[in-house]
Amino acid sequence: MKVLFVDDEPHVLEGIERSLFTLDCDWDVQFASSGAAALKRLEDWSADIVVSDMRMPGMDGAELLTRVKQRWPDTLRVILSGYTEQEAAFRAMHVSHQFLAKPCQGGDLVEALNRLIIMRDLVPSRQLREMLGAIAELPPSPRIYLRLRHLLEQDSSGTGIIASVMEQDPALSSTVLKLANSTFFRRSHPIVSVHAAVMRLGVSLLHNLVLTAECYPPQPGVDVEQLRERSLLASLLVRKLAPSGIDVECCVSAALLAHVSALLPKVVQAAQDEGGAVSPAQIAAYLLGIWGLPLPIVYTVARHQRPLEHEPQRFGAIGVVHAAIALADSSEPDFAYLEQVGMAAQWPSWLQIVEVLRHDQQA
Amino acid sequence: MAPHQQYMQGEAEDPKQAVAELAKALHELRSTQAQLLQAQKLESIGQLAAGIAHEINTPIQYVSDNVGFIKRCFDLLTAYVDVAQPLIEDYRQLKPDSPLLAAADAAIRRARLDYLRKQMPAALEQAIEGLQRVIVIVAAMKQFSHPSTAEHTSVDLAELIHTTVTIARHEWKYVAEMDVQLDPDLPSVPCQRNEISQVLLNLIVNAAHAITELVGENAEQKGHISIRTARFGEFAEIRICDTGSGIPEAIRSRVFDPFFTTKAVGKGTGQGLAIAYSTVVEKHRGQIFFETTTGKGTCFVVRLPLQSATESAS
Ligand SMILES: Nc1ncnc2c1ncn2[C@@H]1O[C@H](COP(=O)(O)OP(=O)(O)O)[C@@H](O)[C@H]1O
Ligand SMILES: [Mg+2]
Repeated sequence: MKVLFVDDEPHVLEGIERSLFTLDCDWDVQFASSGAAALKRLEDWSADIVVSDMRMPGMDGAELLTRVKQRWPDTLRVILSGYTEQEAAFRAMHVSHQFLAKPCQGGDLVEALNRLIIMRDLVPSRQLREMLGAIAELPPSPRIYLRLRHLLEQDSSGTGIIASVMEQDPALSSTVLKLANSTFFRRSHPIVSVHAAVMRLGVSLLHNLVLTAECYPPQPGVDVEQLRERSLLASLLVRKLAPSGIDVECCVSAALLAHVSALLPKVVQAAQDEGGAVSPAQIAAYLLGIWGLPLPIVYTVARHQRPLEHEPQRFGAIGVVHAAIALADSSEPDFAYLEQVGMAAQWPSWLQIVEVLRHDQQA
Repeated sequence: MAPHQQYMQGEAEDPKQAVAELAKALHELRSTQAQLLQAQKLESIGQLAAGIAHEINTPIQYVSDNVGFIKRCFDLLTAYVDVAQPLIEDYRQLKPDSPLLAAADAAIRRARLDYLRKQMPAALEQAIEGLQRVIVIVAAMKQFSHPSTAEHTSVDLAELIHTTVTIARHEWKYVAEMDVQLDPDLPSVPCQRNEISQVLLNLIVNAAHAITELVGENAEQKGHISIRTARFGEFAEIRICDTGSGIPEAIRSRVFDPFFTTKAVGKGTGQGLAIAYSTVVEKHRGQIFFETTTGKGTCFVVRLPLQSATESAS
């Protein structure tokens, strides 16, 4: 793996170099002390990951990464900054896949970068990754977006109500989970639920985030509203179907986010043209993975279509997400799997639950 | 006659009443001033903190990278010495008079190898521990510097308490042993992080003062401060207990009053508990009260609802 580190403080770069040396990282690393030097380096040395400081004289980290994004979209972009303002975090969010806060211990840095790079296994095609690497946010449902804006403009809106609106939309949910899981906001545990993410970020930050977001219109041919409704339905079903002993919140988020690739029809089409080796679920999982969402969510999304392969012994996280999505999409589940884990008999009663939920949704 | 005296005479018939009114006005003026000063202080600390945190984080990044590097290098070198030493002994059998051997022996003596082996890891451990403490303090400053204090976020009380105890360290370490035991199953609490941290800080400082009051500044025998958390129905409960002077019966009803203090100027402002009360009870719909025995000690109890007010309303 090739990693380029960029910082205007040479001691920081030397510290990282020593750290990596003793941690036995067999990465191929290079260092640059300015944005301009970094761009020059990248011309003849294409990095897998660029890790850049934010505040640098001349070209700052945000500008550097914007250029990297345009020129080498498959290169993963990481900010490593000592900034403490929340605003800096979401400025970074637009240009980077991940945001790490200084000081970052050597071991943590290695872990974060390794985590990032293994996501590539989900999408081996470079062409697809290039399309995905340039995406910073997904288009939310205009209806929910407007409702959220309206709520945020009222001072009295608490985190509870804001979260309950956000968790109805896969695109907005992915954005808050991405931000809340950057090391800037995350404290000890990964944040798996939209509710916890909203609580962590706070109303005024979300206010800024939503109001300043460039709200991308959906690509032509995407029915955002329909996608939103079935994702929401799947996430609600998870709560009803979840067996004990699984992380329900994680499965709820996975069900909500499992179809986000439907918002990117060009990428899905390209994957099909390549022969279909990369499924829409893998595309979704890759995107969520490079955005730093918790791994259990990422892997549940990636595997939900093949429960028999990944969870043949029991009806667990993958199984429940699989079943909930099949129900919400009115499609056939993998009956062989349900049979094997002893859940096939439940199917008719689940169909009734969907009907009730659909009815409630319409009302 | 000075103009304001004329004014006084003109307004109030009864000079006694006038004096009383003036005294009251003066008192109000003082309290507003004190509040303003406090607010300004917090604001400028916040601004400073944001800038300083950024400046400190960069050197910390490479200091901790380098210390970690040296530690691992030391382990590698020790492993090397471990294989080299028997080699020297072997060589001693072969060529006892070799000048190389004499040089090696001298170098080992000069380095006081045994001492290095013992002390180097300890020195590095301590450096790392010190760094860790700086990191916690800077992270806490960063918390204080966020202007978005008005928000309820989901807060891990254990982490908040550890951070606050660290920041307040210089206030208690000379007079008390700190004993923190936290319920690992306590869920996170929706609250205004900085403000609750401020409340805990005030209570810890008061506890330390109460102990000093009982045993004196440089007492041989330190007192105890204990912090416990537990779930109490729909509340998270924090107890901060001290083995200090206790609160005398006569003032128990007044300690939450703004500007009520029994402490010397410079040590007490009388604001601590008033701020704590308004934060806990008014802003968080929680509870705060104390249990005390004069001469034995005091426990302050803070309870915060596990479900925030805005949420249960929605
Ligand atoms: N833990 C305690 N033990 C004994 N007395 C206390 C304790 N906490 C507060 N008090 C009493 O309450 C008064 C008011 O406290 P506070 O509002 O924090 O103001 P300050 O600490 O500035 O005096 C203190 O002056 C002290 O007399
Ligand atoms: Mg006080």
